Amino acid sequence: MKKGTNKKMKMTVLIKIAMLLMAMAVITIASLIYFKMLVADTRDVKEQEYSQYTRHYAFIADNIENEFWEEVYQGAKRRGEETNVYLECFGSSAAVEYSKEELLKMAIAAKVDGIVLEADESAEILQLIDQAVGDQIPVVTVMTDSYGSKRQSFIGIGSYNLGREYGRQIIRVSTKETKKVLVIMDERMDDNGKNILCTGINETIYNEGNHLNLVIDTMEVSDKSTFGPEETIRKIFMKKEELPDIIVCLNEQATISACQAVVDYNLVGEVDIIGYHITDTIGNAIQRNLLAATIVVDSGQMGADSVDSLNEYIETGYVNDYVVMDVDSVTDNNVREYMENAAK
Amino acid sequence: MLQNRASRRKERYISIQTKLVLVFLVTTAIIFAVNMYMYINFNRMIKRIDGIYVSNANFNELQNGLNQVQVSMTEYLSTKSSDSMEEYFRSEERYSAMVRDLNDAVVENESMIMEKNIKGMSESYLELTGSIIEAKRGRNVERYKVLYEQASQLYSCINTYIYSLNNRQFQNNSKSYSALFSSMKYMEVINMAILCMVALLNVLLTIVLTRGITRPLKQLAEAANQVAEGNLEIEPAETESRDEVGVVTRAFNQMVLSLQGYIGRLKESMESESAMKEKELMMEAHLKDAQLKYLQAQINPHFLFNTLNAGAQLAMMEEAEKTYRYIQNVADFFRYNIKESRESVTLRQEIEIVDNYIYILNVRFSGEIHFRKHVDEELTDVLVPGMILQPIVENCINYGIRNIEWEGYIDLSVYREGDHICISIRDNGIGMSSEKIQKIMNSRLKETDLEQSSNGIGLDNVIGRLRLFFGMEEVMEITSAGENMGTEVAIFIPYEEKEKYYV
Repeated sequence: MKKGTNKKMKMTVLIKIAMLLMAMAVITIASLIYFKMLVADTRDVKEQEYSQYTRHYAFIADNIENEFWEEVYQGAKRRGEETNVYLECFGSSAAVEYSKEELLKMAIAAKVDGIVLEADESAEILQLIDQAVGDQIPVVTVMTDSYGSKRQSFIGIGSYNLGREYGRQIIRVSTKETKKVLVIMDERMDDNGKNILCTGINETIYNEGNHLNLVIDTMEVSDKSTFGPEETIRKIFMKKEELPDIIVCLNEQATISACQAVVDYNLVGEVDIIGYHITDTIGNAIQRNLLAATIVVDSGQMGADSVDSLNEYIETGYVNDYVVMDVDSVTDNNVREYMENAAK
Repeated sequence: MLQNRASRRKERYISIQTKLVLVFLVTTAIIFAVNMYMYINFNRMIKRIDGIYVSNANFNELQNGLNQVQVSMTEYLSTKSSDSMEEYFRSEERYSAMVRDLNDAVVENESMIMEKNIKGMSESYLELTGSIIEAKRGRNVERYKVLYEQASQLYSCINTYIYSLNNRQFQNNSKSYSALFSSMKYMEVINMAILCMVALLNVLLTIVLTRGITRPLKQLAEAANQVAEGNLEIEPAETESRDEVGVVTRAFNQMVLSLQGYIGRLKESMESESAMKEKELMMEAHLKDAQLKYLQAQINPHFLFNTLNAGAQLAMMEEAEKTYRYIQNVADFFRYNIKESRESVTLRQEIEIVDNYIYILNVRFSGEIHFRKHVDEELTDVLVPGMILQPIVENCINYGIRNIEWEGYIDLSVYREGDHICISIRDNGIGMSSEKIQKIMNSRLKETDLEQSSNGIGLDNVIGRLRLFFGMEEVMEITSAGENMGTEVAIFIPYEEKEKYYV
């Protein structure tokens, strides 16, 4: 009996000691692991393992902070990752802000494998594109083209299609009292494109809305100067007697500025705005009826297509000269759906 | 099987010395290992901290190299001196060597991509400067001016890029430095904690291991104490240890076991011996009992008295006066003999029985014995042990006057002498030697001598009873003047005025 209890006591003591040891070991190991994690944070850049890519493309756009271009970039980057391409938003890591031309020069000098470029009609860009192509660097322009350059492909919205979509929205919004329509053009757009866009709008109104008595006016805003577009749009609202009934905005920034101006000048319901692109702000504006409609293009798809074009050219030597993106319009009927999709 | 077990035990035998050495070695090894580990960790940390700003230094060097290329090229363009040209080629070579070490892989890291860009741009830049030098040599002024413009632009871009990268690295490095520094602090705490834990573990280990040595010793001492107190029925001391203590414990257990066995055997033999002694004593007692029974069976006093009374009555009826008196005397004598032999009686009774005895003897021996009494009647009420006078008188007759040629006389005198009563019995027989008197007085007569006396009561018996009765030594005096001069036996009893010894 005594022997039994003795043994039992011995066992409990042993168990206690074992538990103590276990606890000590666990604490030690846990703290060591934590320590290793701490030290791992301080690893040298070169010691770390990164996923490697076979190609390096540069993405160059005027206004990368713009939500539309951010989406284009993200779409392109995602597609790049899928196809083993590293897409660099060129110049974003430098301490100095460079112009598009400088960035293009640097990209050429850095010998990247391909360039996705928001081009314009300037001669310098055209010359640089040709230099890049001469240095065996394929160039794909997005959204706006450099007409006449040796760029491999252009991913854009067909200006005529865009014009038709705007025309349809103008007709939808118009009433018999509606007279003046103001189209705010983007200065970067080439004249050809502007003409085609206007033709698209006019022809649509002529064909589908000939019961209306509309006067279509255009106005150019330049985003070359800082805050230029915003000020230009404000000016429209300052002259009340010349205030148009419908304002058509052809970019995201103009759309937001126009909406804000409508609210600021207390003109909600008096001026209808047809915008471009959809973001959270624009979506909310539609829901609050500040915006009659917005024309959207799948920006992510646009970026993806640009990377695909570069890949295709590098791999096969051939690529479509022109890739047209579909456009769609968002009104208060389908805005919720769009917002939900975007959130996903 | 047993052998197998024993061999196994032998295999597992670990001496205390080995145990202690093991404890020491294990604890030391643990401490050493932990210290080693910490030392290595610390060293690694310090090395890492040392290396943190190396990348910054490298980029500064790169920038300097680029600067030198640009400066020397510009100098060559403005002076066309061979010195500046040499300088240009040296710096160009150095810079291209530096550029060669830069990353050119496309990886998911902005710094690395920046490095790649710097590398690409630098290579383009160097190509450009090469062309510029060529153009300068070829005096192609237009071309080298245009190229110089481009090169300068590129130079500033590269410079900015290096600067940006350097800045980014510096931020990174600062972050790393502070992280390392804080982890150094953390490690200090961990190290202290681990050291404390290991110390605790060592203490525990030492306690556990040394308790394995001391506990059996304590148990053994306890068991030994119990044995010292005489408790041999203890449980054998437990032991599982395979060291010297285990050996001692097992030897102790063996010792206790053999002690138990030994004491058991001793007890058994003692028990059998005492049983035998008891048996012997019992046998003796039974023998005595048998002797007594036998003696008692021999005498049936009532039958004897009745027979004698019947004889007396018969004699009376036949008017044989003498016969009647004789038989009556014999009966009285034996009755007294049986009844009064051990009780205290008066001196008068004692004298009467002596009278009876003399009468009987005188009938037997035709009046040969002359018995004379000189008794102070006032003293005859004193109490004395029964049957003291008759044996003395018998003695006088048997050894004193039986075989003498002359007339035998026996004188009985009772008188007072000081504070004593003296009872004197004197004969005129053959007397007694002084040796024999001495023997009688010292009660050293053999049993056989006593048994020969007529009633089984010898003189020493009388003396003994007198001594016991009166509680004094000097109760009898035997005197004899010599051969044929007779013997006097005097009994002294204390005289006390009608008190204790009087009826």
